[in-house]
Amino acid sequence: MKLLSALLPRVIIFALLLLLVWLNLPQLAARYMADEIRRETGTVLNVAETTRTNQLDRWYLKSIDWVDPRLPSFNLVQAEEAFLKISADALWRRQLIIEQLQLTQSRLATPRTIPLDEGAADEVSTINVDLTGSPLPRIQFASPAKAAAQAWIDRIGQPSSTYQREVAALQKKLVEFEKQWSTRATEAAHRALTVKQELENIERANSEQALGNVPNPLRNSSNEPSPAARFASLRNEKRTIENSLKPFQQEVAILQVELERFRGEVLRSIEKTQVPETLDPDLANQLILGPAMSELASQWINWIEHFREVAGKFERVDLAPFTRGRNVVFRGMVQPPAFHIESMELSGATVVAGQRIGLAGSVQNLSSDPRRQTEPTLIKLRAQAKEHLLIEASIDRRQGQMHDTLTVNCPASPLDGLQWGSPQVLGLESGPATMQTDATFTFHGDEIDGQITVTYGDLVFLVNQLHEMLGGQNVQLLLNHELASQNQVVARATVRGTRQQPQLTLQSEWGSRFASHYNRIQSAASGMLGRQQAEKILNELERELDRIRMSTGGKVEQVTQQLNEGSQVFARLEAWEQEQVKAGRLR
Amino acid sequence: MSISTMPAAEPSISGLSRFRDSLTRGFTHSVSGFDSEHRVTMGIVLGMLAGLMPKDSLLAYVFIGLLVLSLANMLAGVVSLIVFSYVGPLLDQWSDSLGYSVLTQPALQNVLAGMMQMPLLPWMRLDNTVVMGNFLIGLALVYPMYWIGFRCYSRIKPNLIRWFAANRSTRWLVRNIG
Repeated sequence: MKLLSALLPRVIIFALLLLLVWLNLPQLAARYMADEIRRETGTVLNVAETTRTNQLDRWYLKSIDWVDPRLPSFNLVQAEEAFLKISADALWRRQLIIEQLQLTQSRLATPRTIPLDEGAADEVSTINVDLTGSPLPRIQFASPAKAAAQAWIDRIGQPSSTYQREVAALQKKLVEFEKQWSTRATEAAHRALTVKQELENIERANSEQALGNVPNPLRNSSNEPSPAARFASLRNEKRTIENSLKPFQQEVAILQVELERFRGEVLRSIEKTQVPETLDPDLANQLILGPAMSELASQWINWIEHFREVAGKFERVDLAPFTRGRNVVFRGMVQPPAFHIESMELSGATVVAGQRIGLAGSVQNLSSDPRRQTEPTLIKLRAQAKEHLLIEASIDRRQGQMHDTLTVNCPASPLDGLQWGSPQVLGLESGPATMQTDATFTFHGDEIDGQITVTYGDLVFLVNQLHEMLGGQNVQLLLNHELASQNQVVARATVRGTRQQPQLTLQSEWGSRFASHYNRIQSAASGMLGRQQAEKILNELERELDRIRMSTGGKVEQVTQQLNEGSQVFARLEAWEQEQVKAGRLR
Repeated sequence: MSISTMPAAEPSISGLSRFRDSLTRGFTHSVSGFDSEHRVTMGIVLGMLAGLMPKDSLLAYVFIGLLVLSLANMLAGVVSLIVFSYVGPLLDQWSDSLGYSVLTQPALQNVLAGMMQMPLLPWMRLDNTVVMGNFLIGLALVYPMYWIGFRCYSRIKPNLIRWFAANRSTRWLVRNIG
């Protein structure tokens, strides 16, 4: 009896304590859940109010605020209300398994305005996650088709490369010719002028002597050459000048011949070696659809890699600051993750790069330690923004592997006008259209295996640039006529390789249709390809020669005219001399 | 002379009154600290064991339950619990090493792994190095703490009772409740 009276009060105290616990169970449960999440994931869960249902494993939480001290700029999730169903069996084994979690009116990745309490941000290194939409570095895909397309563009862009050296040599020769003959013509003009002036002086002296004013200039004296000798000297000088100018016309003629010969060689060479610039379907796809598809694939892979990298940082974070001691995993013990959400349904919104995105979907098998999961994490999300996206992802980190798959389905959404192809060689533009995207990516470690199918609807192409080697504006007009009837394009891109060196292969029936149209039009308009370009260059050379002939030839002509005028003076002087000799005034 | 031997208030006639008297006496005995040396020391030891444990371990609450349900002195137990709750984290460095060396013993792997698969036992968090280390340190300190507590309390008990008896509020408490 004495023992009973001693124990009874203690039993009552114990019962009171249990009652106190029972009454505060919602708060204690919320506190336990927050502590467990903090310890296992390093994140902080703030719950304003917790209410329980008649069943102990079902709970309602209000005004949830789930933040990560390592991400200083935003909250992970904010939700007005959440319903969760906890596995009671797992709870006995100290596992927090949430069989069902429904988040309503949730907002993801919202900017953080309230600072964390309890110094939660202390002792953790922050991880920068950029959600502002700043452009990520573009992935450069390698593929034989891309290399071939680039080589083709380079070849078209430099059509004269085969005879460019000869053209340059000929141009140099013309410049030197012009320079040389310009000097020679100037010198000859000077000499011709001297001869002419001397002859005119003699003539003027003769006429004055006839009037008896001055001595006869042709009078022979002891220290002067004889008149015959002086005439002979001037005649020789005139002949020398004439001879020096004679080669000009010859050399021009030689250059003309050389140019003609070169023209013949070039055209023969072009005819002999010229292969019509046909397009094959792969080349057409790569040229026109390649850049757009590469851009699309690059964007997807970049985003996925970005999130994988960020997720990897979280996995590697040491959570030691949140717990005392170390948890030892015993040999042979299969220990499931301590915090595990079997199924989570959410509906809410987020803002990425200033754009509001509505989100609804489910996440299955989300845990604090993905390596210990028995099933991979599955995500099914429907995102509604300017575009509508259905995303299904599987994230498998079991036994430390990195095997992820992602399937994206974007139903037909509006597409603004775009530029396609290569603007220097073959450029196209399209007006407003629709675009539907289906993409599947598999990532195994660094290996990527993906396929993107894009279906463009109501797409009308217009060729706005076609290189002369490809036919220029004539072919462009005919092509546009053919393309006006095309309105659906389906393109498939396959991405394989490693994340460092991904390869992209492109397939589309549109490429074969375009190539077929182009080749048909091109074969009809054949002959105006390399020949056209070559003739253009050769004509330029010929025009240059004509210009030299005109400018330098003009100078030569001027000298010849001076010489002709000198010849008339010669004739008059000779006649005068003969008269004087007959009259006996000259010997 | 203990407070329990002091003349009680006028005995009640009805059984209900007797029950009430019994309860109030039990409460005052439990919290007043004038029990036997054995009970007080037991309270100190259980409080120490509970205090050393990290409070996210079920073991801490097991020891608190034992403290409440046993005949140990609760006042001594609560004081000890509070004191050792502050001492516990100071021992983490050593308890972590000790716990790790025990938990990684090959011979214990199967036993411990089996324990972790059983219901409720994982709540004790014996897989944690600090919990295991502090638990072992606590167990190792049981007898020394009992011996020291017993000796100390035996010495201070007469003075404590004298002071308690001289205190007006305590006398009032005993006269009106006890």
